Amino acid sequence: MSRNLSEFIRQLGTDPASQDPEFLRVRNSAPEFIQAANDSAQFERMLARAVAVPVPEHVLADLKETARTTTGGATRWRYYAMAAGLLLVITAAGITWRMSAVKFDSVEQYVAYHYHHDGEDVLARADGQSADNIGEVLSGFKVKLAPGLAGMVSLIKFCPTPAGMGAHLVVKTANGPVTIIFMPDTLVADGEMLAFDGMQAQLVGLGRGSAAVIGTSSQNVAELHYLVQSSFISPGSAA
Amino acid sequence: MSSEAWRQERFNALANAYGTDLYRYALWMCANDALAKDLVQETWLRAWKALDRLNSDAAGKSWLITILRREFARTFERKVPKFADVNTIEVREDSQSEPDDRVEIQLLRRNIQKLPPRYREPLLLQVVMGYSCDEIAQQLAISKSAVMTQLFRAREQLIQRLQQDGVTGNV
Repeated sequence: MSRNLSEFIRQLGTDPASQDPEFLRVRNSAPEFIQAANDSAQFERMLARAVAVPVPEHVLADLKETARTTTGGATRWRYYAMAAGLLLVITAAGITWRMSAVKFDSVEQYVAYHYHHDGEDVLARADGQSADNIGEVLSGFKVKLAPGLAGMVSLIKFCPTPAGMGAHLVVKTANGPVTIIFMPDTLVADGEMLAFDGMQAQLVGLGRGSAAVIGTSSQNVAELHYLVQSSFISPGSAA
Repeated sequence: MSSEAWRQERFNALANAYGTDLYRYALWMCANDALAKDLVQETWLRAWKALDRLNSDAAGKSWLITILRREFARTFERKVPKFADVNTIEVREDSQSEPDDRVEIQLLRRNIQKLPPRYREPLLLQVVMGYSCDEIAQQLAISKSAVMTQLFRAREQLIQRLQQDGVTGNV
């Protein structure tokens, strides 16, 4: 016999479905090998069932629909050109790149970069309907939205922020859709206005963390300051 | 067929082939359904945008996993809020399972969540995505021998924990 039992068990634990002829031959070579192979097969069946968590029926349909309604290759070059332009700005500003992540020297740089990264795409994905996953996304941050602002949200998703994960929202306003980035662990100078590439943003201090309200230069994002500041509330609040 | 229709058809074929496995993989990575859906949607959106750069459909699976892992790294760049204790993660059960099976499966799911990421990820690539050891090594940019060690230790830990949980039988 060319290999011992412990060696065989190790291979079972590494690649139980191996079709290596020598492995297959050894499997049936002696009772203890057969027993080990049967034990492994039983465990693998259980493992396969454990990882095969049910997939919600709408997941596939949703992603196909999203792709169908999202601009594809036609605008890609514009997207790349914008990203390339931003890269130059970022390089000049001395921001440190590490792996796929970007570190920022300031909240202002983060807001501009993040909006460049996918701000327009996310706006395009918001279909104007009310989002039904607001609680699902915000509950992890121990915060909820007051009904007034919640009723205006047409899309909410997770996003990176300067200090961990946050949320990216699109809200419907009389002047068109506006982006709000919720940064649960980032402090900002409340009321500070930013401008970049025809966009404007206002930073809003919240009870917990902060937000950036981003719109075009023709949208008066400052008008939303009070609404935003008063709408990110703790889950225990009555509102 | 117009190029846009062909593009859509190609995308749908990828979604049909890998959509559910990618969601499962994301769910095991995130341990949160909302996060997993978000991650999967981001992955597919980036895939849709970059579809013309996928030279061969045979490379689709590893291409999608690469996008998903990159998005995961971007989203989880720093600290992640604690959405759920692994012990509270519940998934719908297969109604055909025997009650004893269900307990064992549930225990196994919790123990998979408790595996260190360096053990969990190769195991998920193998069991959920059907990767070979060579493919896992390539995807994770580590040696094949390291992959084999991690896969063995992952299973070893799962079996030990099941035995500690009182699951008998031949595991």
